Amino acid sequence: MNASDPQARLRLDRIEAQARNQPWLHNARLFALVAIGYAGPLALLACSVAVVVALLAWGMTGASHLTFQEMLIYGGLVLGALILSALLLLSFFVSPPAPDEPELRAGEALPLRAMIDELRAARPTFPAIHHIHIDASLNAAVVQRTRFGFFGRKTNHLVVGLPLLLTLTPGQYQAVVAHELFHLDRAHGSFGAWVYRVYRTWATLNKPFATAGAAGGAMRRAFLRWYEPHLARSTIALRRLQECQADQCGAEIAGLDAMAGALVAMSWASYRLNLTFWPEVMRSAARDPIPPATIIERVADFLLADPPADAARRFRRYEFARRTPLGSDHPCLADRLQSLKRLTALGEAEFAGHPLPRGAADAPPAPALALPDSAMILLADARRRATDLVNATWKAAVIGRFRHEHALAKQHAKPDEAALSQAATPADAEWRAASPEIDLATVDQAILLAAAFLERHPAHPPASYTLGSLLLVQQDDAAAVPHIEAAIRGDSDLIGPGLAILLDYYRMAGRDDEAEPIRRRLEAHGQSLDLARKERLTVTRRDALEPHGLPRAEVERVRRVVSLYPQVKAVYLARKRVKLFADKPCYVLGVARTGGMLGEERDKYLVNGLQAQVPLPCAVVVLTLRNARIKSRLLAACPDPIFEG
Amino acid sequence: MPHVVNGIGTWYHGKKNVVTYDGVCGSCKGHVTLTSYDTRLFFVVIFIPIIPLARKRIIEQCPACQRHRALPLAEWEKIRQRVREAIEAYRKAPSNKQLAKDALGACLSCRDQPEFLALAPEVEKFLPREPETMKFLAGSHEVFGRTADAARVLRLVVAAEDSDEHREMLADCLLKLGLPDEAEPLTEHIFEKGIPDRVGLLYSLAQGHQIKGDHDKAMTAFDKCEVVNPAILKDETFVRLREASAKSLGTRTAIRPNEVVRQMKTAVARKRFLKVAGVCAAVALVAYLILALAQGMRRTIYFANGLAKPYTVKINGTPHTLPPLSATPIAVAEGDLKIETPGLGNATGVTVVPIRTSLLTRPFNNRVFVVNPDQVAIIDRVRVYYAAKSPSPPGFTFLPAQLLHEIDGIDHPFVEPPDSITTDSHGELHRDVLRVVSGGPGASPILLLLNLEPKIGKEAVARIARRHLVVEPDDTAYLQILQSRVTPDEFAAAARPHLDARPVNVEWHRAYQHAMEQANRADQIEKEYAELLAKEPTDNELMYVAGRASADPDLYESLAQAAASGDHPSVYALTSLAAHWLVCGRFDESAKMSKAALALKADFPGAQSTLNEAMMATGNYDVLLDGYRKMESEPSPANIFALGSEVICFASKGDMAKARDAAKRMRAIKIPLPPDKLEQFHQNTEATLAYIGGDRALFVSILGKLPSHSGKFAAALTEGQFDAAEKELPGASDAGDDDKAGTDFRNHLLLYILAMRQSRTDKAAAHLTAATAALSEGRRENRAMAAALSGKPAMPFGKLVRLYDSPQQRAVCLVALGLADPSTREEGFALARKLNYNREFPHLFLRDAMDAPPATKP
Repeated sequence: MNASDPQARLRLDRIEAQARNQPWLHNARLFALVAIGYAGPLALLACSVAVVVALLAWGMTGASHLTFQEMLIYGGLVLGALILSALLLLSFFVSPPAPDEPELRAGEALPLRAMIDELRAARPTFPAIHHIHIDASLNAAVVQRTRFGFFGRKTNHLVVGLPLLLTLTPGQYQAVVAHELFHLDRAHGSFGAWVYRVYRTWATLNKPFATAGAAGGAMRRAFLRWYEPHLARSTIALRRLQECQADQCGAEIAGLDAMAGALVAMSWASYRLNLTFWPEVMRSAARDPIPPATIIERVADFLLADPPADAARRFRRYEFARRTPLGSDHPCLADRLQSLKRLTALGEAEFAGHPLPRGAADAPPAPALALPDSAMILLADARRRATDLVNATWKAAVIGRFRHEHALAKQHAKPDEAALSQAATPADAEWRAASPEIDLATVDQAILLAAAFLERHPAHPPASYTLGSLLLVQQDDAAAVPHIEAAIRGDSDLIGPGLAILLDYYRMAGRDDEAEPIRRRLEAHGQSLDLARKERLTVTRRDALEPHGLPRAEVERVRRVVSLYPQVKAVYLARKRVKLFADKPCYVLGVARTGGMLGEERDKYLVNGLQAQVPLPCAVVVLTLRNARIKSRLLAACPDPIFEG
Repeated sequence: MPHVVNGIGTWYHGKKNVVTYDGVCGSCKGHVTLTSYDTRLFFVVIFIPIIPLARKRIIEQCPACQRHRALPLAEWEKIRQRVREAIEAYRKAPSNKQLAKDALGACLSCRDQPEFLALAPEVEKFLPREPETMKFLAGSHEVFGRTADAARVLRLVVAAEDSDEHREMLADCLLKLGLPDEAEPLTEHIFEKGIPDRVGLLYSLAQGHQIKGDHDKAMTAFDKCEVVNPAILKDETFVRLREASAKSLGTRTAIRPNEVVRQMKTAVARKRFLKVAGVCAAVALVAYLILALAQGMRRTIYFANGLAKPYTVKINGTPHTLPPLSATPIAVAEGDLKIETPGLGNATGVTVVPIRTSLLTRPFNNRVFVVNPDQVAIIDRVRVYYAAKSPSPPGFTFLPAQLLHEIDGIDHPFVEPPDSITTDSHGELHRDVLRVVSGGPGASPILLLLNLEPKIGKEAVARIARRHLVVEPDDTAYLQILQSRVTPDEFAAAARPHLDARPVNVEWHRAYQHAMEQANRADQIEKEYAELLAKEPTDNELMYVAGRASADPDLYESLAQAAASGDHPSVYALTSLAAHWLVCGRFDESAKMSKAALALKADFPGAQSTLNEAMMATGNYDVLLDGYRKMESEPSPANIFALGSEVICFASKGDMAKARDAAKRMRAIKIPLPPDKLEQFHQNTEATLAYIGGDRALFVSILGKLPSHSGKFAAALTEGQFDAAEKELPGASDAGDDDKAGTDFRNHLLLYILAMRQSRTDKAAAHLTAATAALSEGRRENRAMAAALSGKPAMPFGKLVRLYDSPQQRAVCLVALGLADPSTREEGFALARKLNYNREFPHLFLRDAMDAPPATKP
């Protein structure tokens, strides 16, 4: 993003004001943007059809006197132009994909279908829902597909998140469904579909040029680089406005209390799940690479469980302080309630009348999926099948991440000899030993363990980072920030991740003023990384080199790699003194090889191969006559080769 | 890789230490038998090794794509040495896992199968309980295509450490070996634990069962797949394979998944092709319709101008200038074209020309539309032939003038065809070309039209003449063409609209009157013109034409004289009176009128010739000769005419020497005639000279030798040879095509006169009857003369002799009338003698007849 976050916020506010006060002007602006997007593809199509017309016109008059070979060439040209036109034309017929989520069968979830029919009876303009899908999100959504992209039969899909069904009462869910049907009724998605089609059309057209690197391709890429974010930013205001209008509609049909209650309940559930449940689930990957098989049941159990004592207070504080994130097309809770003129719903003591806090505080734990007042009853007999399907689908979606987390945790749990030998300090060694326990613990326990470790070793960067990130997940940014800053100061490897999680946090909270300096720091860090990469990959005769100082085992690993290259005669290893991120070592591997001058062509393969395989951050330099100065410096730092072939 | 161009380049020759094994090509990813060997790289010419370049080790050459890796043999030997060292190091410590792994890795890295095969049993023997080493060994076996060995080793791995991962590896290996039943128990954990990212193994198991024809088990495995990962239902291949097994349930029919996938891919490719083909067809259709609409919006129409002058037309209100005698391409939208001709004084009015072609066939329709607003252009369709040798001469087809021509099959509309064309054909080819017939620069359109009459027909010529008269009403030459090609009634009908035009177009009125007379409606025109004159009594031209319409010479004279007088005398009236006085024998008055006419309009047709006749009648040869001398310098045929007239004038004057000199000069002129015709022309001049000089014998002698019937007729008459003259009569009458009737009655009357002189009364009666019959078919004046000759005069003799005719013809008629009706002899002969002033034939014949005593009445 080129503009700063406050500037972007200002611009977005301006666009939102325009969307509210001058809707025609705003719509015209958006249509102009879409038209700009289509201008290029349409011009291409017009040109190709013009070529076909010209060829046909010429063929009708002049082709009768052509020789056989000329006829063949002419036929080929016509066919080629036709196929090009057809492919260009086909690139316009783009329809958003149907939801991937599993679908309910026709006879399933009759109460839900009856509710939709009831809403349609109340508002005859509401369109029919043709397909109902289920997933594991705390959300409900609609997707409208048109048979041929621009025109044709419309098919409406409703995506029902089971966690949302668990969260809301049937009455609240009715408000949510009315909200979604209003989106369909007013074709709110149609503009999004246009935008999608523009993207897809450009993507299709860009495909042949993706690898060509031609000037035309570069221009297209430059255009898309400007167009995509510009269009996305310009449409956000409209989408937010449409959300508020849909909320209004939901309130009109299901009642203001139901709509406001649904919004608060969703946010409250989301807050709780994101604060505790999902982090815990992901941390379970350290113990088992296979995701839990009953995630929906777990969600239900979690929602029924008591929240921490001050959770509701923290939630209210968080939501009152929060602003809509810059990139979000849904306004934040306070804004949505404000637009419904029910901001008090968020401030009512203990969420009186709200099912989940009440259930959490007072009601006895009910069996999962059988909450008498949850909207799950809308699924009727399909509850079991729907739950199983969603569980399996969710599992398939997250197992990759689970395996990754598990592998990391496993690596922490069983550090190899080399890693242990790399531990520079006793604190590092202790941290490596403690890490598996922290990984396997719950969030609360992990916070306690990390805090205890930091009490013993106050300036340990990885521990500071771990504690800071855990506190940030708990929305306790006041406590988290000092730890993350300490980690950044202590370990350059932690600058990027530390700044990134802070930026995400502030942006999600809509705290632009606090996000902006972080963004600037992250940007500067990115530039430093580029410079450091260059510094570490190149070796010059002015570089300061010193003995490598690596343990024998590490050197042996290097020897094992270089021994696979028969053309390597000798290898010298030294440590390079770097200016950027000097806390991270950088090595230079000097390679003397066979082949003399004739072997230079193959040097790049040798260098690339060694850089990829040698288990050290190092620059590889082939010691030829041209690099004599480097060689002498290298020999000064490392007189004996680490390998001789 | 070695490379040759036309057999020249580098190539491998020789193979040693060949090692083969089944594996996957790193380039084309095909399951093939890979080959490694030692060879030598040569520079080759026609694949014959010439210069050895290097010794190489070829590693894993793919038989399908020929891709491989090549190492210098020395390096390869060095690597092998290191491999052997690694193996030796391991053999020294056979229970060392790391050394085992290093040794196996060394074998793998250089694909040294023999060393690997020697090492593998040792590793398997010494480290069977080391799962990691065994897995590495199994993987190495897989690389060398030894799946069965890999399975055996993996069984050891599972025995050593029974984990999900190891079970899956073994199951995968067993499935590759085609042992799904053995693999099945090893995959149960995937279903039990619901591991979605391992669903591929269950999927492979299902396919393994399909291949074996065990569809119950296959369906069970497919169902497990769906439970473990519902998203797999989005995989079209999965659905197809499951359907295939569902259909084959209860049978042992083996299903080859590859075949099902191939069929599915074919179906998808066909569907995609049909989709693209459909869109291609749609695009082609749209392009075709755009083309058809565009052609319809801008159809090239050729606007032909058949006139010798440019003029402006308005096409749908837009003015365009059409150059003369050519066609101009103009793009206009199809439909009804509204055409106006302001350049022709809107003579054609507003014409609507429908230009329409079918939208669907328009691009294929290469019809040429030619619009001819004046409707006088004759279009020539020329077929030009092309051949390697002696092409056929071009063929011409003339398309008569009409408003719209729609012509198919034209290659070059109104442009010249190329001089040569390139073609594959060896036969004769042709191209069709359109042109507007113009006859070239300076050509007379009237002569051109008359020349084309045999090709386009009399009706077409008449139609063109009629259109010319519409668009160029002042060009009266077309009046004569039209008049001679249509019936009098038709002509009268065509001319009638022009009579109301003011100022009065005398030519149109005269032509109309002539047509009405021919149609025996002279009384009607007399009445019509009397009415017209009554409406506009002061119009001189109308006065004149009203006089001409009258059968009464007195009325004619009074009206003509009135028209010829005043401040604006009618030149027509003056010229007409000059001719009138000439035939009345009042030569001085005739000359006076002619001079007045010429004073008004120097080139007025007929005025000069009438004056010349009057001069000749009064013997003013010198005046005539002055004029003819001036004409001598003019180009042919004026100079020829002048010299011929000089011959007559000098001879008539009696100056035979100058007459012969003039004849001699005339001979010097190159006249574009065939030699025999030219000689005949000069002989005629000699005969005329002899006749005027009074040498009848020479006249008869010269004409008797000529092949001309008229000449022989004249000679026979001069000789008094009635039978001979009568014999030549048909040929003589046919000689003058333009006035056959006049020549016919004149010749009959001449024979009548001779017969009367020779008292051959029967012959005389016959020829008089023939002459009166011929005269009766002619003009009103002739009919009056015929009536008088037949003894039933329609008017008094005094009026009859004042009717219009040529002096020579009138002289013949008066002599014949004098012989037929003695009561008119004295008065008639007196006038005839005056009118017989031209010394050419039959001057002497008539003089002799008049001088002869009266004979008995036949």
